[in-house]
Amino acid sequence: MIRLENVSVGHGGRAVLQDVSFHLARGEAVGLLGPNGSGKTTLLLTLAGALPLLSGRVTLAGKPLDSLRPRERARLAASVPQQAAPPELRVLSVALMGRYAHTSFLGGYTEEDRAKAGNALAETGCIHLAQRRADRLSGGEWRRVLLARALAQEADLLLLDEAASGLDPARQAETAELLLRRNAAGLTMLSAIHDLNLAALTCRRLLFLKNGRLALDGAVADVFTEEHLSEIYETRILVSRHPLLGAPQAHLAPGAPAAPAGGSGPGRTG
Amino acid sequence: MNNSSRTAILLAAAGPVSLILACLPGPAPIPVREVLSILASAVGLAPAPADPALATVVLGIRAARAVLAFGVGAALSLAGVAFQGILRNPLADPFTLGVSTGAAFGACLALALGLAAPAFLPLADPLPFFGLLGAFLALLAVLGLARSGRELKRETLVLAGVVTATFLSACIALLKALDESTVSGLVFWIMGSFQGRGWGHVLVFLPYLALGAGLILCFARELDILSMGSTQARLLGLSADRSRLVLLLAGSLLSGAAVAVSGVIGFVGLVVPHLVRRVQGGEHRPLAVNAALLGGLLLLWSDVLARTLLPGGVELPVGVLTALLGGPFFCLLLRDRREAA
Repeated sequence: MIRLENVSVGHGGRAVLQDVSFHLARGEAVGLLGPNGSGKTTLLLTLAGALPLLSGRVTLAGKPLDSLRPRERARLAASVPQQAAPPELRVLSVALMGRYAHTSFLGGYTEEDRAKAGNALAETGCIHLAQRRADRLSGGEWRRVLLARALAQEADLLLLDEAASGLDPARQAETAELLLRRNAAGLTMLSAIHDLNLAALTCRRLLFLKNGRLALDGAVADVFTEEHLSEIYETRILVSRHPLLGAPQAHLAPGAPAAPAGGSGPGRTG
Repeated sequence: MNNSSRTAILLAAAGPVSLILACLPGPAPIPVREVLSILASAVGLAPAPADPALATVVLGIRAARAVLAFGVGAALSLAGVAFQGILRNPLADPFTLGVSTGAAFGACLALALGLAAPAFLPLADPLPFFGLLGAFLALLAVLGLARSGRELKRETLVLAGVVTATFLSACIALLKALDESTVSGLVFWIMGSFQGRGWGHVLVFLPYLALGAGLILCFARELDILSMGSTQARLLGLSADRSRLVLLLAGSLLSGAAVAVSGVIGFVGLVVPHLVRRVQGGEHRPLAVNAALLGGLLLLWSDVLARTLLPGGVELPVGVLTALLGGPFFCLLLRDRREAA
């Protein structure tokens, strides 16, 4: 679906990502993790075509990313951005923007577009907000509207940047279930997540960025270990099993006695 | 029926009514019945009026001014909608951005040097063309000035606009001082007026209004998306730079042509989009339609006031009235924004 070869990206003369290579197959659900400032958002914006490459190559659906016209690109990859100031527009108008890449130049939004925007809002539980002003929503409501906008885009690849952050536990679980359902139906997902446990529950493969480089790439069971996590985040992290689902879950241990020395140098890729 | 269509219908109905009412007052005392029968004869509903001189006053002066004022008000408001949307700046309008003064300078320079439009443009009157040119160049200069930092700040943008406008006003004053001895011409360009305007000006102005309004309505969806910022626009598949350029050109076109026929009239493009947004929200297609209609009404009535307020047939420049209205409004907006930030 998307392939990166030796990609470097920077803004303002500083390289934020260096020499990143990986490949996402169609239908994968991949989590993008790493400390603050490790380049997760930059990577997602690059894949969405919003930032230019310094070097390297990105191939989206078999075509070089920079050869795609903006509309073609937006039909292949949809984004849920981390930050977006809500405009003075109604929620339905924002969701309709997801359909922009499917409209013709003079055609305008069709009834079908309106129906799809409405369905996307219903799917993220925001249909009751459709006529409300976006700049008067709560932070959590606005995040779900942005997710609906991306779903309305009907792209094969969904790039999520902290899509579930700022949501209450029930909404977070709903959003995670929605994404799992969409993934089972064939949607490819790359999702930047701070919440390690949510990542372990919703993704099957994890990429870890650190200081702009790909530090680790592998199946959840292989990379979600105490050694790897503790080294990448530079703090003591314990891992246990989820009591119901069996997925590994991470625990911070602030205030605990210092960890016994050991386990140095976990395997690296990249 | 939703809120915005209701507003549009109300405003559209108020237009013709206002046009008729605007023909009633004036320094020459013409009875209401007479004015109405002259207007009726003009549209073929009544026989030709008895006194052709009165008909000239009503049709040639009052009606033409009212129509032109409506068109200019619509143009300035549409330009305000476009500038506010693209620059994501609620303080932006042709006047605060220095675009209007740029247009006035372009037109004055063309007048002073006796420039003609390029041969490939078969224009009856080259002034709006040079107004457009001046408007666009001033806009580029202001954007360049404001961008010297890393990003475009709301206040910096308006500051750059005011600086540019002040500088260009001085240039206009200099041109006029070199060109002629009276200050009346200068006042026309800097404060704006419809005095002495007639159907000829309406005809010169209309094509620009039609083109600019058409472009803005065609790009209303893009304006919605651009109001979320360039990064969002790119994520959604919009070529942000191209749409922005088209819309900036459309805004300059409208401001340039408006200034070429009526001088610099401030704050209409600032106040009107805000009022409309309050009633019906920020969706740009209904916003553009309603702002154009309301802006037309506002300027039409401002002009009626400007020519009837003072006794003895003395006229105020209409720009004085709009500035009296718009200045305090601008301060309110500035304060609101500071509190919100």
